[in-house]
Amino acid sequence: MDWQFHISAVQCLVTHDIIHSAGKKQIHQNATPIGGISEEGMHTRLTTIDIRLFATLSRFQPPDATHYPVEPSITVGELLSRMGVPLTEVKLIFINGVKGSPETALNGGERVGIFPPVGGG
Amino acid sequence: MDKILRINMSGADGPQWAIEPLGAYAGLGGRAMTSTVVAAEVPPTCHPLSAENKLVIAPGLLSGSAAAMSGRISVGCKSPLTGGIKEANAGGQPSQMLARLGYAALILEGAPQEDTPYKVVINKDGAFISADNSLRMLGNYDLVEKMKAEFGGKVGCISIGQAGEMKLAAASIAFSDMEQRPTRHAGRGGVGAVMGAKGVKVIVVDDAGAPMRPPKDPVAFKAANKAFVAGLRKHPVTGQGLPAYGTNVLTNVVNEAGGYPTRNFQTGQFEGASRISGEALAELENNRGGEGSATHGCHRGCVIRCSGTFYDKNGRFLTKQPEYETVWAHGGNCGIDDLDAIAQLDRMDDDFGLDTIEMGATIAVAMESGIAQFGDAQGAIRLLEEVGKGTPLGRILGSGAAVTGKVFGVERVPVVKGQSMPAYDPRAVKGIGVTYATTPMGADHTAGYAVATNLLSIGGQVDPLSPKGQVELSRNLQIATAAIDATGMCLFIAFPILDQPDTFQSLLDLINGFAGLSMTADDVTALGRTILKQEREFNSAAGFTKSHDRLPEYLSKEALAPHGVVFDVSDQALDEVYNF
Repeated sequence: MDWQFHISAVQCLVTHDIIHSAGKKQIHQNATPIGGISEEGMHTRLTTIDIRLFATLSRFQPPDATHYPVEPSITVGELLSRMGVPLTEVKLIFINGVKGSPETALNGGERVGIFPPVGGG
Repeated sequence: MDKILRINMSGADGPQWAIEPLGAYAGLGGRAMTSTVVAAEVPPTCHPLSAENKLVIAPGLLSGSAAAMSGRISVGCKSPLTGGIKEANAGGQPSQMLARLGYAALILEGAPQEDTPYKVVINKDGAFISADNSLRMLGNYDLVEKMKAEFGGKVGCISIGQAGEMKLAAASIAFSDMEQRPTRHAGRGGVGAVMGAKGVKVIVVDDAGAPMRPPKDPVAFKAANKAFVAGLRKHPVTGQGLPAYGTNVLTNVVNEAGGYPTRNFQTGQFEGASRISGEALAELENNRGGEGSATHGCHRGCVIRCSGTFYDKNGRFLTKQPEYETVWAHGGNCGIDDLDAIAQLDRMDDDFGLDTIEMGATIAVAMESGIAQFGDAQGAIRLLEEVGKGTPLGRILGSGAAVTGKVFGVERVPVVKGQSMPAYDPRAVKGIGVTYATTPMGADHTAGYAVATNLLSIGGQVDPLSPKGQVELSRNLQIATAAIDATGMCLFIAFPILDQPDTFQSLLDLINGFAGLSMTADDVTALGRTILKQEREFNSAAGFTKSHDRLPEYLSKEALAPHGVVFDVSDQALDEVYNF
């Protein structure tokens, strides 16, 4: 998967106005150039990540997983809670192929892989 | 298990057999038995296909008892692929059956004077050996069908296909499963070629009338078995992940970690991984349905049930659920993302009697040379057909990745001691790189599965991308694995016993309750060390030095994407692995 693609996609997109309803995010995307400031200057600017949930956690995979919107500096733990993923079921977190933890903060553009305990060989 | 069946194929009047007491081999099982016999009886400098080499087949210590997971069987010899000592183990039914018949080992030695395929039948009355030319060049599937017709639906078979008869260095030995199919293989190191050199095509094991092996302390044994099974069920890997998705659940993990060797180890991520993952395979199998589709055991007494059954598009049985290593070898490593083609290749490997890891690695090397294209599934199938037919090209490929690389002038050949690396790139999973380099077996992931700690956070955590801590990790796992390989236990019990001290204790209680012993964890470690030292001494006497405990040079020069890493565990550090 091409991370560069996602980073450039993020750079083309600034979104604002997050509405949480019943734990599910709805996003109004008003495309403005990067660096632009929203009218009120108060709204959170969103970026996107490529998130994949595997094995028994694949039931939480969102339809827009390859460009899933997040607020910059959100932690993996906050993100998973918001998605309704029980943290007790999460064992492995990979961020761009490197092990992360629920405390790891995301900047946007990352590829994030989430697994329950798995083994084989 | 108080006797050994020794078959000498060299007799002037044909093969001779004798039943012997255990003598110096008392108390040994599985890999402890095979490696001790090979070290004691096989001249380290002999040719692996000569009469001096021996093929030792040994059930694990607990095989044939009511202990869960105890159906592994070990095969040992001097390897035609590596030139060193070899232990390859498999699941299937024959381990329990041989153990119930009382055999702690079956030793094939000598070589027949004529080129005739022999059939050995072992039952409660002894052994019966006969020449049978009708078996010549049969594939494992036809062979086992024939044995079923002759001996009934309950016998177990230990057999070789065409590859073993041709004495090819990638040849495996098949062990039949619960459905009497030849799907479980002692795959690695060319053990099938040694069986072929002994002239034995098939060993039929009939345990009718043989009782289950009783424990010395039935009360303690029963309680320990119950606790052990509960521990396996409680651990999420053996209780949930493996039954649901099989070993192939690893495809996505190793790919996410950037350590999935793609197109002959060119990169560490495969864009087609999700299409051949355990999740995709389970979905396909569940959609197609059929008996034992996505969750099935490879032998009676298995409570993990990581296997499954693969039916083709028309619902016809094709093969068992291909394992992770096979899906990788014939899939991502060859740039192939088609599960039906991979399953077809798995079936062909099982039928011809070939190691799926070695063949996938070999086809990838052949693809790098340009005789087929990466991603060409039909091309891979055609190459494998050549092996089954025994054409000159097929014989080259069936001799493994190292030979194929030499013949076709390929520099990048991922082997150690002539044996191909499995499904983890040692640059991005450095602990497994240490195991590949230093195990007496040649590149072998099962010999010290550092992937568990490097990638899966089982048994602690050691950063896969740093050289730090890998030597100690690999050493400890190699020691523990050698001991587990002696018990007849499936290696997947390692996941719960690494994480759950009480499950490790119940394993000890199980062994002690069965054998009337009082072994401690230290005794288990000592057993593992003894096995490894013995194997290493054999290799040393066969001409191996520390310069053989190295990965191919290109892996320390060419950086692997996406992490841009090389293998950088120093030679000095590698030489420390066996300082114990």
